[in-house]
Amino acid sequence: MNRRWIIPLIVGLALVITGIWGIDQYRQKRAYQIYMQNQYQRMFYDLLGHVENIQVDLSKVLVSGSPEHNNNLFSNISRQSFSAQEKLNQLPISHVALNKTSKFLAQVADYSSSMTKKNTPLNSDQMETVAGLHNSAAKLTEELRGLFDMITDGTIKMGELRREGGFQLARAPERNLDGEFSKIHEKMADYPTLIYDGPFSDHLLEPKPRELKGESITFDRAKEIAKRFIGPEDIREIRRGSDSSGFIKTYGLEIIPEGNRRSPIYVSITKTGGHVAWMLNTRGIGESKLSMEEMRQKAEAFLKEKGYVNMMPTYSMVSGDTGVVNFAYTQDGVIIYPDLLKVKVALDNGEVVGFEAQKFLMSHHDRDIRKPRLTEEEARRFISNQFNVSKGRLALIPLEDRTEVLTYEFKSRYQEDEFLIYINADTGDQEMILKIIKDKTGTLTM
Amino acid sequence: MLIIFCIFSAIAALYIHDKGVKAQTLYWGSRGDDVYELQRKLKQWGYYTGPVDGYFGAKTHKAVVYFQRKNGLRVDGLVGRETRRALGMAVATNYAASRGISNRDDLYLLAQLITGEARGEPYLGQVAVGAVVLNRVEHPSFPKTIAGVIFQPGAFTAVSDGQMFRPPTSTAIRAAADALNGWDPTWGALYYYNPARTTNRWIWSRPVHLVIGKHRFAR
Repeated sequence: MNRRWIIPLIVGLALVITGIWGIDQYRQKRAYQIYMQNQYQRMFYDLLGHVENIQVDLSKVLVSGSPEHNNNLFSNISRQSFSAQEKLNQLPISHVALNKTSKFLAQVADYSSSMTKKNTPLNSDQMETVAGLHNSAAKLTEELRGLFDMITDGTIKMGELRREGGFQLARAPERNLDGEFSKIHEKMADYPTLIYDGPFSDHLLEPKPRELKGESITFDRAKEIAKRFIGPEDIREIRRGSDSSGFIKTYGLEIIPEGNRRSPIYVSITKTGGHVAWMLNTRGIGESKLSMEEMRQKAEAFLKEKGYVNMMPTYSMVSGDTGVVNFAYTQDGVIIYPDLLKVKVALDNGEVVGFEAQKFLMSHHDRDIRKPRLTEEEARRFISNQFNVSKGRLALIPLEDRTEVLTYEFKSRYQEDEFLIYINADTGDQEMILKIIKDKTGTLTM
Repeated sequence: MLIIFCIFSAIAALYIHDKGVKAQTLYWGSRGDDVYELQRKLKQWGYYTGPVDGYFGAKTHKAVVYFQRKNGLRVDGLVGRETRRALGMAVATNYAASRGISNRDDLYLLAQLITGEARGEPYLGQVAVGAVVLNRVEHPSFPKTIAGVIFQPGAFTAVSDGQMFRPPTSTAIRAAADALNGWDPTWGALYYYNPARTTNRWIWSRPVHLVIGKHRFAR
């Protein structure tokens, strides 16, 4: 055979194959693009539908006089806004452009769900809030409708994914979804400030710590405090780590133990009062030898040694080669759940390798605890007789709005499941039910 | 939900409503909320004339029998499944004891994100990245779940470029566990950025809480 044809033949064949492959790739890419576009379109359409319903229902609240009817409307609104927020956050829009809209929807959801618990007609303040929310919802509906028109007539394409990830946002927003949402964002800026008792009310978004006791301390003083807290460990070096200026101002320290240069112990100490906010020892941990009980004792001994008094171990959980023991403060025999300390114990030798007092520092103070109106026996009667109720004790628990309520905590059983039921110690209302879960990886015990 | 999760975080907390566990057969002598409801319903429809007192007595029994006869149910004077359903009351669900859910899936996902976003950063920086995710879950401007926050389009580079879809490092798993257990070196930061990489002016304007390694953490 004539050899001259072989090479062109191979090259030709390769070209054809590459071509076919290329067309196939292109088709696939198109298919994915169309699929994405359809997903986003659907989400946007849903979003618009939800926001329209929110607006309509809010307007109905304004004209309805019956609390029961309002309850229904509010529960509808909260469901709709929750879904709307979910859809919104899945659209390919930068956070900066949508964070106010997202916050608006989350707050409407939360406000409405807090209103469903009220059985009285709206007072004038609440009316005003609802009216304000309604106006914002109406504005938002209008904007979204305009956007929807642009999407349907092809002015805006949603399939065109932004290339940059992270916080690298589009520089000059043109006619893209991001830019359009930025415009909405500016208009959402003036919706009413929400003061109500839900978890997302404006006045709760920046938690304020209780007054920290003590004077301002220097870094050198912080070093001494850290050294004493770590204990007799051979310290090679103490370095200045990252200071933090969040809700509480702290010094950050990095302690390098002798001979173990690569795993520092991090300690964070408050600039006011010199309290240890948290500690993390990052050393490697050997084979687990400690039992749950030994772990708890080690943690308890540690707290006692560091001068934390009236702390009661509530729950402990083992995960991997460490365990965490939770302690709640007790005052006059009442468990104060908001004041929580955590101690992390290495299961190889029982050394404490972690300590967390951030929530404790934020919330701890001397409380004025009144005598409850109900006795334990009276409170127990408010629990469904389906439960096998074994234990009761007084506990102060935090609610969603970060207020605290005095309750009786009952450990209860329903068939094989265990629950903690919290009954308001004054009114008998059921404030909360928690299920106790014991799973394979972390055994949760009391 | 998440606020409480933080406070009781060692107990993987799960709300349940007690509605489902309440439904049971009512008969002569029963008392309680269910009987109140039964009497209210019967009264509303004119089967019952006695007091709504939460006690299943002779009059209630008579009303139930009357209701059953009228509606083609088995006439036994017991308020069981069928009668409950006909009355529009909660029907007992077959309650299966559950071994519960755990936060293991969240732990793994969070560890994957930390691996993708902060591999090579100091341990503390890894815990801080985990804490930012959890702080976002608690803030209304962001989705309400860990997965929602992580997969929010454009939120994290490691998600956009697929870097996070690898098994997490053991350090990252540790860091994720510490973050889930409540350690937050950032005291409530919602954002972080690498000042050498980002040109976004908005993010630069946020108040910085602290700096760890290459990352600035801001609210």
